[in-house]
Amino acid sequence: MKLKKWQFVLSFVLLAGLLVSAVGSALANVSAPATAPELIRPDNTLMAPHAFHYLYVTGSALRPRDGAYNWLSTGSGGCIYTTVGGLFNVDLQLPEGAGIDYLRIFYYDTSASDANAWITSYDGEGNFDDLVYVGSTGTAGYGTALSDFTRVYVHNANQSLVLNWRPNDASSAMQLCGLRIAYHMPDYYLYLPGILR
Amino acid sequence: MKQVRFSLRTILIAVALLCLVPGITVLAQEIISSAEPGYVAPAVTVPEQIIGDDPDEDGYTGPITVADPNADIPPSGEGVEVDLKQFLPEGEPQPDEDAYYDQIGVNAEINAGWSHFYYMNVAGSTLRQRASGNNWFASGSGGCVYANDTYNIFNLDAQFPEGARIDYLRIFYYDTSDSNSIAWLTTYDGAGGYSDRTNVYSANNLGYGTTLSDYLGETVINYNNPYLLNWRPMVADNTMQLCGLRVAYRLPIP
Repeated sequence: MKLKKWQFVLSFVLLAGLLVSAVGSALANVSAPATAPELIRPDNTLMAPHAFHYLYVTGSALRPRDGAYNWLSTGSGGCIYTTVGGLFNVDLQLPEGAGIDYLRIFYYDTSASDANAWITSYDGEGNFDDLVYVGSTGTAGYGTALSDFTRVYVHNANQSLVLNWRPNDASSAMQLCGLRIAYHMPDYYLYLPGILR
Repeated sequence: MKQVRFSLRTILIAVALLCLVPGITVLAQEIISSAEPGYVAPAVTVPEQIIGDDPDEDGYTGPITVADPNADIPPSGEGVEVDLKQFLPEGEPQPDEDAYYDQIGVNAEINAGWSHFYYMNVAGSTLRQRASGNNWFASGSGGCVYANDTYNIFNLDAQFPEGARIDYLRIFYYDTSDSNSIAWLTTYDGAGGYSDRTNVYSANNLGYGTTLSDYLGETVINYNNPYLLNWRPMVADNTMQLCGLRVAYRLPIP
């Protein structure tokens, strides 16, 4: 069977493309880290007896606590800011008995002010407790900051948990791009039915 | 038996399709983006993450700064911060609490094969109106919410483990009004239909309070039903506030 010229060129191009993608994929795998990150915390087993779990909320998922305040999302859709002010929040659900250790904020900050973020609990009777706090820092643009270590256990029967954020700046110079909670699962997790694992 | 033959042309066309289909998929992903039109990715200014170099990452072995409980941090609420331990449930156990079923004379057979209670507990201020046009306000140190329209219904997505059994819905409220607000746990069918699975009203006008729904006992099948918490204030001012909704559910014991 004879191939026409254009058929030969087409087949050559397709096979070359296939070869390039296969080799590229193989090289990408080779350049990945050879070893998995260390999961044991030898010097901090008392502080964090289990591997961390994370709850990571995109900044644009928060909304103002009062409807009087506006909100805007930046071009990527991941960050949020206000041109009026106010305080933003989002519901937070964590497993019963989990231990919250850290709150991390991801922000865009070119403002002279710093934003505040909290994990707050409420009792349903008008009272609150700011359990973990972290603020943005600097004016360099995108950045991240970590709270101090604060061990808080989750008791869903007694408290509702909320992520709060106050920009302290009414412009795009202060944006929330994410909040990430580092927590560990309670021991009972090992004995839960498979639907939760 | 007749042999099937493939020409070189057929093979080449097949190879071409195998290459083109994934290529088109990748291109489509590039074109259909959740970003705003004209979005240009900013220059990367945050250093690449190295797992284990920060205290909130596995593998970290450096020093840890423990938060000072007496540190002067800005409050998230307008009221006075309190120690919530003083509000731990006390008094007569309620049907949505485990201790209730330990009492003599209470029939706990219905709970055979089910775990103790788990809760989805949400602050009222995390619900939002389901249609724009009206307004909402936070109160109660940022934990409660109220509206400026009687028919301004608020909602929040609710997720439960597959196979769980939803037993009760509890409402926490501030109510000095002559009316009563109502909360529902509702499912939708994705085609405009809905079903209020259970409901609970606020009661009296004495201020802060809580009431409990009747027993539901519904097994969660997430394949069929998305759950939603709904609340309608019935009152258009701060005499009616939602401070929390708590769903009590159990897990099946394998």
